[in-house]
Amino acid sequence: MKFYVIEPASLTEAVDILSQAKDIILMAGGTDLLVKVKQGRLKPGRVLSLRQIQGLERVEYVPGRGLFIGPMATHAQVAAHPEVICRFSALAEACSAVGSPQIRNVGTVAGNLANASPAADTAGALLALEAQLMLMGPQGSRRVALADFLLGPGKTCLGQGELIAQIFAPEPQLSTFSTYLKLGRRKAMEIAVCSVALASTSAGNGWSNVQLALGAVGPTTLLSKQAGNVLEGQVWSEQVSILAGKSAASECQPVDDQRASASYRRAMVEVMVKRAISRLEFLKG
Amino acid sequence: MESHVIGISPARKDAWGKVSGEALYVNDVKLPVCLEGKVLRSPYPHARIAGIDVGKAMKLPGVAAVITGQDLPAKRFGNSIADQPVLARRRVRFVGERVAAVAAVDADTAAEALELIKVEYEELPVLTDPVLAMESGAPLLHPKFSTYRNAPALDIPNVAGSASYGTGDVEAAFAQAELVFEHTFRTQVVHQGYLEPHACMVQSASGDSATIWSNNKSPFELRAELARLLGLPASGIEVIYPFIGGDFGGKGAVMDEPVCYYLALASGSPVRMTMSVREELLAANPRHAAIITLKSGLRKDGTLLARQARVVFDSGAYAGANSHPLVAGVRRVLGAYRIPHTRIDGFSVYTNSVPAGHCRAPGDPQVFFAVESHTDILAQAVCLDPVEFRRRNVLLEGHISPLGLEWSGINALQVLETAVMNSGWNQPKASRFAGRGMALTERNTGLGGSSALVTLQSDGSATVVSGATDPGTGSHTVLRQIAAHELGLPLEKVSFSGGNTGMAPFDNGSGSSRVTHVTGQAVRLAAQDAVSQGKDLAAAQLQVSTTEIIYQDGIFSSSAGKSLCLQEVLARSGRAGKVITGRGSYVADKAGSTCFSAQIAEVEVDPETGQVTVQRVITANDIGLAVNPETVKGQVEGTVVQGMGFALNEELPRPEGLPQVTSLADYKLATCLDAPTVQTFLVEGSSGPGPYGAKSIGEQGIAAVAPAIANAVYDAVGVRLFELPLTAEKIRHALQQREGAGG
Ligand SMILES: Cc1cc2nc3c(=O)[nH]c(=O)nc-3n(C[C@H](O)[C@H](O)[C@H](O)COP(=O)(O)OP(=O)(O)OC[C@H]3O[C@@H](n4cnc5c(N)ncnc54)[C@H](O)[C@@H]3O)c2cc1C
Repeated sequence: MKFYVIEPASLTEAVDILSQAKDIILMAGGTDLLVKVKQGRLKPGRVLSLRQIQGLERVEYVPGRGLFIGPMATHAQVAAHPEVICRFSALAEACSAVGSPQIRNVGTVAGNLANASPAADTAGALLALEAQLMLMGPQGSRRVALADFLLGPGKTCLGQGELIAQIFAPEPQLSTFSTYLKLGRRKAMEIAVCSVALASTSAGNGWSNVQLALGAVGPTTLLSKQAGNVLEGQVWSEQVSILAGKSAASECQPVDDQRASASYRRAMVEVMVKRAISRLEFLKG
Repeated sequence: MESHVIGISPARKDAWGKVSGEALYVNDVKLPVCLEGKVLRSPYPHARIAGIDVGKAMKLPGVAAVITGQDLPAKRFGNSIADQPVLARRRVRFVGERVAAVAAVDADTAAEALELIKVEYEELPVLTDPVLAMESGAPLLHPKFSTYRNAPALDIPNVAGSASYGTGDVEAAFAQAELVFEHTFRTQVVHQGYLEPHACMVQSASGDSATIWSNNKSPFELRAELARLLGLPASGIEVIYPFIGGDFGGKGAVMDEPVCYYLALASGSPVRMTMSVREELLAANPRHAAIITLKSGLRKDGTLLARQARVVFDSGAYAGANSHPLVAGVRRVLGAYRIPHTRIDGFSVYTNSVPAGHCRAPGDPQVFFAVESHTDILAQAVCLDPVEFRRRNVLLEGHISPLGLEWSGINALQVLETAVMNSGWNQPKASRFAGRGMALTERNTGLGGSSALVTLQSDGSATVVSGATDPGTGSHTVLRQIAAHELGLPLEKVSFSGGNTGMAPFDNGSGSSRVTHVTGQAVRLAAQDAVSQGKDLAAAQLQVSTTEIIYQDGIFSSSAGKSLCLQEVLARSGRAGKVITGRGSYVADKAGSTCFSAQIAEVEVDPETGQVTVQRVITANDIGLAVNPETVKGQVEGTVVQGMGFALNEELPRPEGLPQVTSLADYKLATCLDAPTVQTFLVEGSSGPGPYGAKSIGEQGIAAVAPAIANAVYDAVGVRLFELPLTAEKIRHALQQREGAGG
């Protein structure tokens, strides 16, 4: 297949071009996009690549503020970033769980979010880390919570000509721990059967500010509010953990497909939530 | 054995080219002008074609030809039963069947043209269950079956092949047996998983001859079948075969070559065709699904007395991709055991599924999953350790093979004990949910025919010319090693040449675990012939009789102590004598021995998710003599990982004939992270038919893997599944059911 590639020099220029024509599709690493093009599911007239724009691959941690991820930062870069590993471990784990080394070397976190697959690995981790997205569009810039960005399978709140200019995860409070667990049928190159991301702050004996996200068990990666409430402010006894697992399992909305049945997915949510809980307990030490 | 080059593992000559990209594959070959061909495939598992309108597609700029079944001679092709049309005629029998084809200036235009072809289908009832398809009154998928070339005379509906074997009197034996057990096992369709998809290119300006580039691994068989189908003399067809990017049995059948030829004729231009991964998963020739029922009678002490087996292979819509419609695995239902009373009935049945074909040890992994799972159940029933049960029943030297063959050098017990001894079988397991399982299998060294040439060059080097392909197995290196040994030359001085059916002598093709044996013997004979021709020349030059000449390490010497090296002999022999071409031909059509494999798998089962992790596989293989031990181990490791994929995750389900898995995202081939540690022990010494006593390894390791894993899962968590693959979901379900039952 043939298409023209446009390589603007700045994000502003990119937004300008994107908002002028409807047949232009934005490309970051291309690992989702080019597969769709090759399968004939997308027939772009033109593709706008962000490749030539300087500095978009930046991953920066600013103490006291948080983590800033540029739209061209790859999974490999994020996964290897020391501050991400130690302060945003769910994200580092999620990025390491993506595909294979080749995919992690070109696929971006922004592309993963914009592609809006319910199984996207970084979406769960970033939901649990309460990430926000800086969007840039013809009407200017706006900031949205990731939870409001993801609308359905392949659907986001991005308007015509709008793009993700930056991903931001706020500095976690002291003693915050997070983890991302992915269940698949093989150890690499795998679309999650279900995934769980959990972030929480250890407070005294209990845990507060609980954020629990579930992947591949609903139309979007979703925050499990009910299960979060079960865990919030509690000492995570075995009983609480079981309750949280059951609550998450009842809250999720999995479907049957060739990868797993809905009932298996639901059961696995329960298992993975319990494992995420013990992992956080373990990290706390 | 004493040799400078046999039993060692030199680096393969092709390795560097494959890593650097220099190695040429079919799609690297470019002609100045070449069209791209693509086929339109049926979206229905079974339908009548009421009409095809190609008008719009023809008019698309860039389209050179559009053809349908109506444009082609009404002929069918197949490696045995010629049941496959080049393009469907009036009826489609599986989702993915070729209905029309287009040649265009590029792949995009060809794809666009396919979208413009209108086909009117009238859906027909779909047959998916081979057992139901065999029942009397079932609609016939091939009403004209009896008119197909090589079709056997059979009168069971939809059966493409069947066979029955037996010894003794099973009924009487069952009546006498203290214990009788019967189990039914099911296995799924899996793809061979080669990296390079089927690809071909055809040039045929006049139509009365054709040059065909193909990655078929049996180019001479391909040529013969194309000659029959296209009505050309074999001498008018030249098949050129560059490197082959993996095969595992899947590249021995005719694929797109005929349709590509007809597109070349219709367009008057060379045409290239490459299957996409989707097409590979949809319409190549994957492994047969099977339903296997085993009934065994035994004494309380564990002695096997009788076995009855019924094996039904799902052939899919066509059987023509197989050299025998009833794949050979059916003969393995007795395992490697002594069973006096037996009865085997095997069937291969047409359904509206993908046409099944050869896949590494056709039939064996299916049948041995059943046999070796069943064996463990029997062992447990008589309270014997699985190893002990096998020890009591295993074939020993002097026993007649289960099908009445006289095998020499039966070392099954030694192979079994080698695996057991190296596995810590009786030691405590690593954790609560760890399990160990074993399996013992048997498969003979491959048979067939091959001719080879060994040419001695005037500088003292040599070239092996053979028609054997090397689909990644290292066979060219092994063949060079054999020639180097016979010629007493360093391996670097022996090259390999082939690649073209017009120039290389006949070879049966790299399948059926035959190359080291069959082609190897042909090369060995050719090298010996070259040496004896050299002796004649040397004798004349040294003025002694040929019998006085001794040849060693490139030097001819007479008993009087005079000697000449190879270069000198050739240099002194005048123009005609400067070339020595040794010839060797070899045919083997009867298996006088077999190769045993024993494997022990160690797994860990996650009882909450049902996931199985295979941690270590200990494997012992009866190899006779390993010409190239690292290559042998490479084959073993490959079979373990491929067998594990079959055991745990790979499947191509088609409920109601509709394919569910059409991408590699969903076809769960194991990755390197999933691969277990493999410890390989080569058991040498029981001589095979190959050069220097070599047996085979290409397919021998694969069948033991799934049952070893299934038995290990049982050992770990007490769950016995009768249906592959052993997915996490199925295992968890079984665990839950057991809990629900209070067990
Ligand atoms: C073999 C393979 C394995 C994979 N394994 C996994 C896996 O394990 N887990 C997983 O989650 N994913 C996986 N993926 C999917 C994919 O690699 C990831 O989603 C990746 O992060 C996408 O990033 P990209 O930069 O390649 O996106 P692209 O393909 O470039 O873009 C994806 C989509 O996002 C849009 N987009 C990109 N950047 C922006 C932006 N800044 N603003 C707005 N829209 C934007 C594009 O227009 C496009 O619609 C796999 C893909 C392949 C091919």
